[in-house]
Amino acid sequence: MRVDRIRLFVQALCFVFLIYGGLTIFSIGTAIPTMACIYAENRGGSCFLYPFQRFLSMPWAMLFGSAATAFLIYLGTFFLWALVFGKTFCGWICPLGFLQDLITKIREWVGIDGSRFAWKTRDRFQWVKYALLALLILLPMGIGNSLLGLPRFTPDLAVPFCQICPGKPLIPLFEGDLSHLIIDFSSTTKLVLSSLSMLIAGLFLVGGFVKRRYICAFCPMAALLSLFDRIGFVGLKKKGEACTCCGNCFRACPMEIREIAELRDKKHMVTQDCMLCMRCIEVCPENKALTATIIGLPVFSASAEGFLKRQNKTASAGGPFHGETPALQDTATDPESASK
Amino acid sequence: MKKRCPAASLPPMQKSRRGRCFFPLLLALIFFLPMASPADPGFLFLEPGPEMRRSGGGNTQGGGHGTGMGMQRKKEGQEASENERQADSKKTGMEEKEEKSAMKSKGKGHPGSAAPESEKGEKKEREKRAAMSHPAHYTLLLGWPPAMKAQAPEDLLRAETAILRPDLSREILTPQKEGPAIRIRDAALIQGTYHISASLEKTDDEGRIFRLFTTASMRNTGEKTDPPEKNPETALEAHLPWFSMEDLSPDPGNNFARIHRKYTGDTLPLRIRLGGMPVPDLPVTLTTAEGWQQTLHTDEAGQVKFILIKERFHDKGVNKAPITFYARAELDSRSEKHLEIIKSVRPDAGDNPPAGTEILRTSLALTVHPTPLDWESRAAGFYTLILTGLVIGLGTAIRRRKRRGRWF
Amino acid sequence: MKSAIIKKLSAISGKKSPEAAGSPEGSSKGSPEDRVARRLSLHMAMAVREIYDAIAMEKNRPVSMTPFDTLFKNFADAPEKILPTGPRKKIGIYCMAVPEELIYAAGALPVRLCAGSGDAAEAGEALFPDVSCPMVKAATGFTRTGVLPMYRECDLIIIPTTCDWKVKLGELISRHVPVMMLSVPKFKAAESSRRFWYAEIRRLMHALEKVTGKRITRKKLRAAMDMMHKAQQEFRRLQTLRMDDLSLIRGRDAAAVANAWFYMDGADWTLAARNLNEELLERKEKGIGTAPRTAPRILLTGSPVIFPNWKIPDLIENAGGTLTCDELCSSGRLLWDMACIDEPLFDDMLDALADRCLLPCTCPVFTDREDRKTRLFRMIKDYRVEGVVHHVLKGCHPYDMELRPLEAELAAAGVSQLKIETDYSPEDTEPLRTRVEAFVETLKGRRLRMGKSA
Repeated sequence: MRVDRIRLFVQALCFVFLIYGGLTIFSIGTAIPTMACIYAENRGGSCFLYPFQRFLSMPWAMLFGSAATAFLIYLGTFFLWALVFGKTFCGWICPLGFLQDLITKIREWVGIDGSRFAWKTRDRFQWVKYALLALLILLPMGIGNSLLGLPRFTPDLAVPFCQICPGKPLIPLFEGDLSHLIIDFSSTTKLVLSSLSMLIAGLFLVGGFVKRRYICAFCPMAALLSLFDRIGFVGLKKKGEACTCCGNCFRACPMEIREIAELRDKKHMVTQDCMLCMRCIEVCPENKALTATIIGLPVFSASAEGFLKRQNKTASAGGPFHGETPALQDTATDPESASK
Repeated sequence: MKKRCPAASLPPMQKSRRGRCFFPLLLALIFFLPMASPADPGFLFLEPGPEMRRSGGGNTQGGGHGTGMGMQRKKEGQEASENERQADSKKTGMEEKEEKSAMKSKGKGHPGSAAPESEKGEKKEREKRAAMSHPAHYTLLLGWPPAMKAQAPEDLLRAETAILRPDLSREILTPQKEGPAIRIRDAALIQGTYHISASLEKTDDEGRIFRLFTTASMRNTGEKTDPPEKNPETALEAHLPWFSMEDLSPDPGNNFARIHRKYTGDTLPLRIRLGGMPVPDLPVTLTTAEGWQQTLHTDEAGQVKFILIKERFHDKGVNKAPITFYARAELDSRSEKHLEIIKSVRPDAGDNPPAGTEILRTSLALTVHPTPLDWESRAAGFYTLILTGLVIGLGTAIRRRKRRGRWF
Repeated sequence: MKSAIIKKLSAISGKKSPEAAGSPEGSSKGSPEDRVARRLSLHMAMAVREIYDAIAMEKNRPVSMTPFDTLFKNFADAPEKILPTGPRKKIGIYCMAVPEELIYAAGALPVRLCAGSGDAAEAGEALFPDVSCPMVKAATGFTRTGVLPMYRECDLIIIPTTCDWKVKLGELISRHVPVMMLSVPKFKAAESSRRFWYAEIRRLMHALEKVTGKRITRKKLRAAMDMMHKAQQEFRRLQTLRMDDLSLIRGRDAAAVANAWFYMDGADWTLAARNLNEELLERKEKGIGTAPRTAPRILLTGSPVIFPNWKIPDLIENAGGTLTCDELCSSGRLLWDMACIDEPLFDDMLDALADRCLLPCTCPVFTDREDRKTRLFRMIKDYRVEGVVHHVLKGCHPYDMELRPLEAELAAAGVSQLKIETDYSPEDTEPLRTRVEAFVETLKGRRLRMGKSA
């Protein structure tokens, strides 16, 4: 069993459902904490952030008056999703994540080496997703109301995050919809936002060939979901005394989370960037050093045997490897094996 | 959608432009001239009502999808009125329940769609779907485009309106007064295309008989039902008014969740038929809400193909809100040619033509969105994307080449 | 006892003399170096024979130890046969910090040259201060005298700068063999250290490609890593078998198995180890152990134990303890840590190798003790260890430095400990035997007390 294969399969299923599910006239709602783009017309469910920003752009009186119940129900739905699935949305469901993983697969297939952020860079950019989260809350608020006596923002700033999210131009492409691959010249705001959107989309496509899951490091949804890391149903536990700090988990982690390898005393390893892809468990050679849990029950644990089995599969996946080992052995006609 | 109220918007426009622009003034005069004779009722139109507009414009072709989509379009309606906003807010998110209750209180589920009682969960699901769809809700308007009166004459209450549902059930609707406007409403619970028609007969002081006809159609999500047994074509034939103007735009397909809109710059094929017979060589006029108009004559098959004019007659930045286009055609029995046409489809009445003059008018109101090409550039977007990719990709590759000494 | 040794000595010397004369150094009879070489050759052969004579008397020894025994007997009988013959280049390495996969991928054979012979240490003593690491002394001795041909015939010797002795070793032996130093960062946690280490591994890769004349490709590296994984799998199996209540294999033999990895081809070793594991499994089912169940379980940690210096494991087990596990870079840690292929791409695999050699290493030359402490506690728990023996070679400063705080921490956790400070010479065997026996008795007594109280 290779979890990364299963994950890719689940991701593909979720992708198809989230992008084309609407064709079956079936939808799982608009409060899904994942980047299932609302601009995809046949979607089977859509991102939480779009309606969230819409709600926030209402005038206070309406948001806390006539729309309050709806807003609360809506937030509650989001809360439930996030509580039950938590970060698995990032690793297993998110269509943008799937696209990035696909690009990574292509990259591996082509043979382009990946690169990593320098630790400092990585740490320096931690705040970006929180800043985006703050902006996507504050800007819409400023549209419907005047914040701190400022004039109300232009409605061109509506759903500011969606306008720069790489999902907007890219996900509708899968339905043959090119209409979001545009630059909007109607106003300066629109011009800036749509240019930014194109830049980010370009970055998304090319960056996938450079680094794994790098857009996720800036995703405000991850920041939102990380509120549920501790209380979420799905967890990742570390047994410090079994850890040898060999760094395998850190190297294999698509999100480059250092804590997973470095911190021995920390038990809950779902950090702010973790996407619960379970890759660290897969590559951990120490028995039970890492465990994925659902409501506290272990579902998948690291083990030396499993590690070797998966590594063996990884190694033998490449073509003429089996022809190579005997070649290494042939020259080794040493007396020991002869005597035996 | 932004509907321009001529009474409010035109006079100041004339004032402000008097000095420099003679042309609109002239146009306005031309259009207001026929209204000078008070008895002439003008044309009858069916415009999408506010409940449909909250999904973003109440496209005659595209019914609204439920959640989200409406808001997406709202983004473009910048000058959305407070009223519209209110309606919009109800659309957002996970709020089907509230909407359903609203449906129950307001809407009258039409008998045709009375589904057999089955499992409760299924029924619930069905109700949910129905609630997500939009009711057919149209405002009856009478007048000369583009200056339609907000205050509707009481005459409109006499209008005969009917709806043809996707299951081919036809029902006569009664126009009702809602505030200043006169509206018709149908719950529209089934998935498919709905055809609505209205007609009104009016006689003026001079004894002229005005027979006014109009049609509208909408697409709607909703409960999916089995395809009807009868042939929808014939049913539509029967449903269409005597003097009809049909929109022959290509069928948008079966995906009812998808929005289909008309954009300026698109072609609009229309067909004029009188009593089922195509009317050749009839002038058809297409008028925009701002007063631009074009007139074309129908061909042998009674068809005419307009190109929806781009409205660039604005000075307040880019107009992204949908606008209403009005198409109209008229048969006047005072004209020899027209009288012949009327007689040819009414052979029984050929001997004793109706006393006085008879004027047949048919019309169609269309919601048209300004084409995004006015303010969006796909090429620019595409090049930016590609350029970004190239710059970053090559930059990374070259940097890596320098560092590692090899390309791969 | 001593008379027996003298008898054996004469017997061996009589038999060995023609062979010694045949060695390349033996031509010039009179030079002092030649005399040193001959004496070393004789004494080492004697020590090896002594060990194997003692082993021959043991009961219940797994039969599958034969290939390993043959290898070690070659130290005395046919030093040129220790390494597998063949056209492959031989790359000498000196520490665990060198990624052997890379050498295999370059089509060469890694030979770990860490030496354990007291006689060789004597032969190399002249170049060193009084208190210095016997391992480095022995290695120098072997290289200078050329008694073991493998010390001379390596095409490249890679010395990581782990401890101070290794830092200086390169200069001492570079007269005789080509040496490449590999700089090991001592502070593992910093990113700069890791990047530096990655760069060093790449430098090593280029050097290996130059020496072997073969390009290390992605596929070769992958095959080598896979081979290594197979070896590590067997190694882990062996270590896991030792967790059993029944002592299935003597600690000395387990150390010998790991020790044989130094000289054997990886694939051959894997085969031999697999046979051994299978036999041990059978023995487990039959309940055949090498020590009674009452024997206290002892963990050996500290400086490496390298053939033929099997003094400490022998002492412990002859005193009635059972050496269940060890935390030594020569055996217990040798093949434990595994590199992981994450993306099967060249860079990633190189980084994986680099990480494997650096990050999980519990060698005390690194700045913090945390990894080693965690590992010890974990082993104590896993193997149900009753006593810990700290083995410190005289002159092995890093272990010595770490000993006191570590002892304090272990003592705080209630672990009985014995510190043995010794070198490769057999002179202090008797006093050590007394101490080890006393320690084992203490452990036994403690077990009895615990049993009563429980």
